[in-house]
Amino acid sequence: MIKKITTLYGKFIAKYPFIVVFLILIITALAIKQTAHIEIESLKYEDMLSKDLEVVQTLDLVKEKFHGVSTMQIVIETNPKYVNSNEIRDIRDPKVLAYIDLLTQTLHLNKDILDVMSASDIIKQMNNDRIPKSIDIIKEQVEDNQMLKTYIGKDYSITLVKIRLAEEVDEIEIEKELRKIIKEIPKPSGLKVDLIGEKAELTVMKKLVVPDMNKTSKYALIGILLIIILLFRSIKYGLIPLTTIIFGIIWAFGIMGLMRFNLTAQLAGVISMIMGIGIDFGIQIVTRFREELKESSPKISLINTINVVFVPMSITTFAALIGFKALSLGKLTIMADLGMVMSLGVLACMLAAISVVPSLLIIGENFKNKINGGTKK
Amino acid sequence: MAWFKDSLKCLADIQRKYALTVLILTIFLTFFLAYGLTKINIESDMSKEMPKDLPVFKLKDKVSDKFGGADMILVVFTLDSSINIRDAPTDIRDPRVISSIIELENRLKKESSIDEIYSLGSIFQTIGVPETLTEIKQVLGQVSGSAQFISNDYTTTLMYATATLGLDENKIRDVTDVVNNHIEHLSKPAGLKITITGVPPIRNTLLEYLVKDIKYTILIAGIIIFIILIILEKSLSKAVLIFSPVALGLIWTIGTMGWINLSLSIATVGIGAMILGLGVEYGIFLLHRYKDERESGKTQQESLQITVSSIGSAIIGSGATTIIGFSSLMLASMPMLQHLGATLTLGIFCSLSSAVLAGPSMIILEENFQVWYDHNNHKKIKKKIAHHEKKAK
Repeated sequence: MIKKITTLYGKFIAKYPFIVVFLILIITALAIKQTAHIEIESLKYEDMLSKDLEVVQTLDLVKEKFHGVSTMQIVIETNPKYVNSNEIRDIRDPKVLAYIDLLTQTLHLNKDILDVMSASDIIKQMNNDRIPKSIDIIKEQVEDNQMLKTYIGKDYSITLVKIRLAEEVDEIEIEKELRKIIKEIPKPSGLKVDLIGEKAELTVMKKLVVPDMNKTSKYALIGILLIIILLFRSIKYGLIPLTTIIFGIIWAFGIMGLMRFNLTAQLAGVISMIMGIGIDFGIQIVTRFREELKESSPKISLINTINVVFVPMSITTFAALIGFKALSLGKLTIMADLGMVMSLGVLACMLAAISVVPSLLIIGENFKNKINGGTKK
Repeated sequence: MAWFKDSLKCLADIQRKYALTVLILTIFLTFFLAYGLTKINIESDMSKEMPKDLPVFKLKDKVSDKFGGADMILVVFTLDSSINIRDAPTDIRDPRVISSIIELENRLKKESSIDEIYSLGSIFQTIGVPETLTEIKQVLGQVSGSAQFISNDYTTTLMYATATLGLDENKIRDVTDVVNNHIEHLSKPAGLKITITGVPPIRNTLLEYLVKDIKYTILIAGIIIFIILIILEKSLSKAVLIFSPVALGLIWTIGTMGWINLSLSIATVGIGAMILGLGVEYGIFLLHRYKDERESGKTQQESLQITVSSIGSAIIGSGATTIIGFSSLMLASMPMLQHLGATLTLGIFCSLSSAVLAGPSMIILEENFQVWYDHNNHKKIKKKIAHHEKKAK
């Protein structure tokens, strides 16, 4: 029964390869359109775990009741460049606290910032809402106050401004906004100001996804192309299996776009992984076709190839899908996401291998025969 | 490439002639590599998977050094609205709740692993807990900053416990267990639920499920793939022949990881299930080609030579492309992707090696056994027939 279907399918491709290619191009164009819906998102620790776990449910409760536990910190450090200058050398300097006070007031104006806490708030509370002009008073108060020690480093070269953010705020937007505020407020000389915190880290991760994906995919493609040209000792037969992964990846990403499935930093390597797996299908088809060509015509070779390769290829695809779907059985959601993307990739590559590759093979052979036939005349 | 195929033909001859020896050597190698399983390390710290040379991570490490107490556990006290008990607290500022908070704070302060505690309890430590809710509200109204500990609907309050845990998984587990233990033994009013969250408890849970998920996904994937193989191949022995090299490849992979100190992590937890899914094709193509050649009338030697040289070179070629695809991940800027690339590359290499080196010998041994078994069976049947004929006479 399966052999009947594969034989019919082989005959169809052998007779109408251009129609098959045309249909493939239409599907590919639609898939490309859908890829525009894929966004890059950041993945936090709690996103990696299943929502039914108590520790995640508790965190969700805190987010719901307190509107956000996401924090960022502005790190202010002394960084004097010149010896014997008037630059700040002690973070307890009143000028630093005045700067932090101005910074804090400006930050409060941003609607995405729920709360700002700093050493200047505590010092002002202790001194009737004003910052002492004398560094000695401040030094004494810092020594005596435990809370202040969580804002001022032990060596008095660093201080933190702790910012609590609304949960739904976009990392890249808030980071941009904070850096803008830091830049606009003039700071005393000898100070260095920067950002840290989960949102800052997630921003960095998000920015790495696309360059990493591009880099790893490029090297994977070049490496794979060299291997298969070496394997087949032919540029034509080296390039044809590549269409498996090119079309397979576009279709897989098209489906992801349709499902509105977003990519995280942890999934940045999926394209290379799909390439490495999907190329096998193309190689198997081309290898068998070339073997069959030694004894049969292109049409018969194609039919035999599809007949012979279809069942083992389907079994291996099925086995791979099971392996990948098994990843979704655990409590780690990151694995389920990886499994889903890989499943789509492998399936799409298999479909590309049994549609694109045979069509191009038969078109190539027909073209070659036409030229040879023309030459013979 | 002719020399390569000739080499594979020689290999096929060795695998056929010394099939049992090859199998025994494979078993010894497997035992040796399997010992590496006991050395495998599991890493749940995401910060190790991040690029350490980026300014934001360098600055984070600097701040941790200067301040210590970089890790925070959130203890969440919340009123359980599902409980319908008379006299249960209806406001988180209830004196009984405050007393529980103070008790927990005092217990945790005695733990050397906890650096600082911040909660509503801190406000009442010195002045004592007022007897009525009204008095508590008055006190809290005069303390600026107390609002950050209480939710707007007055059903939840937070306790912040800071600790310097760093990257030590044992420390994280111990501190999380200590806090949970104190919570369990705390005297608290009915209707008050106390749970913990924050990066350390989440990492602790991640680690716990990393281990469970690795075992679970491998087991499930293995069982399902094996059953599918039995159904599709319509034979238990064929399924075993296809599955064995993959199982060996998996043991070799994880064992080697243990030997070379390559940790399993959040990124590589799915390696087992993935290797099972990807490696099975090598066994399938080898076995199918061998059976096809035997059915076409070729001898054992000819069939195995064709199989190993033809399919062997094809799967080595396709395995090489898979390895290239995975190893390109090692060029990524994120250590997470680098580790994933290294692990997957190792996995495919081991699956390929076990399929090409051990697979053919197993096929030959299975066939020889089948022949011997059928021959023995045939002898027994002949004996039985002769016996019945004698009886009939």
